[in-house]
Amino acid sequence: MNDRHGGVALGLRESLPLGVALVPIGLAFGYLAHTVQLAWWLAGLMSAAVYAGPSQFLAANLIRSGAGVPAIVVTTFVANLRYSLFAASLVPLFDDTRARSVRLLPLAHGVADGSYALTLRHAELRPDQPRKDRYLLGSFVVSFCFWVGSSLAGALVGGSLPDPLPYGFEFATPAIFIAFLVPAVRGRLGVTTMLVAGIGTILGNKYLPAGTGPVLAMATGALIGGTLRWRREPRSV
Amino acid sequence: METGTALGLIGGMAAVTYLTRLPLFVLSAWRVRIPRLLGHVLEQIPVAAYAAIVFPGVLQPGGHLDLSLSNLYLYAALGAVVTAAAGRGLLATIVIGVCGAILLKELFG
Repeated sequence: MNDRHGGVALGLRESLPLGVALVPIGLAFGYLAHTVQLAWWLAGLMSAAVYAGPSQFLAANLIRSGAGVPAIVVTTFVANLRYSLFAASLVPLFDDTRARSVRLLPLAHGVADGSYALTLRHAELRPDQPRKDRYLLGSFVVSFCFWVGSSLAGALVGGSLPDPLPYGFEFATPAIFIAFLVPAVRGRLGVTTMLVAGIGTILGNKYLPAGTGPVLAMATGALIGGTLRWRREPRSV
Repeated sequence: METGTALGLIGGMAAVTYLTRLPLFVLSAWRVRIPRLLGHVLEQIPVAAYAAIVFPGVLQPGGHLDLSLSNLYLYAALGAVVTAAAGRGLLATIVIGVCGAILLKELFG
């Protein structure tokens, strides 16, 4: 098999369900951008250049409430800090790419929730396949095209259609990540991590400034789960 | 928002977001060795990240906490969890979850 392109093609193919699921969310973002008087091409530009769904919704809502540019940029940074954690946990998978690590410079833009989850799943299903960065590249291309395309479409038709999310389409996001969460939770330790991160996010959304809850809860959950796992590990002297 | 301001905002958001993603390159290029404890913490990141998306998505729809049995997304989530636990994969889980949510909203919403 052609290994050079095999990984990319696999990433493209296996990301199609993710791409389709992103469509209602992208349409909703475009719609929201339209309602806060952001021109259609600016909505598309934001989706392409920022490429981080949850923080874009946050930004649009902050624009509506009259927040200034610095406040929105800081909120975006905090909300997207989770990508640093994603990136750090992907690096060990890309060990055989280190010699050409400059390729990871553009690929870093593709570190997003869905492609991250798919790449981890790929590494678990096919641990021996080389160049897992190629899989991420394929997944990046698909989810980028669907995300930017549907954002543009939502912004263009925004005036003439109702917001799709309240009709149940907002469930696309939890549905995608239930598919990844269920097989990933293993044993009591996994359940502990899940509960700390999940309940912590809900509390954080209620009591902390916008955008800070999820990343704090996520880090706390992983820290507790990881420390428990580390303490249980037999020590070799 | 004026076009110039919006462009500045998007530029700022894009720059700080790319910065959060940059460790993919930096940690790899500098050949950082990850200590064991940190390695275990990173192993827990996926579960923590997915939970941080799923829990509020199901229990806090529209930003408001709803733990009552009249929260229709609880039932859509149940369907999605069963589908995922049965090993049906990504597409089936999304279809069951989203179609379930739309149908439940249509019938009882």
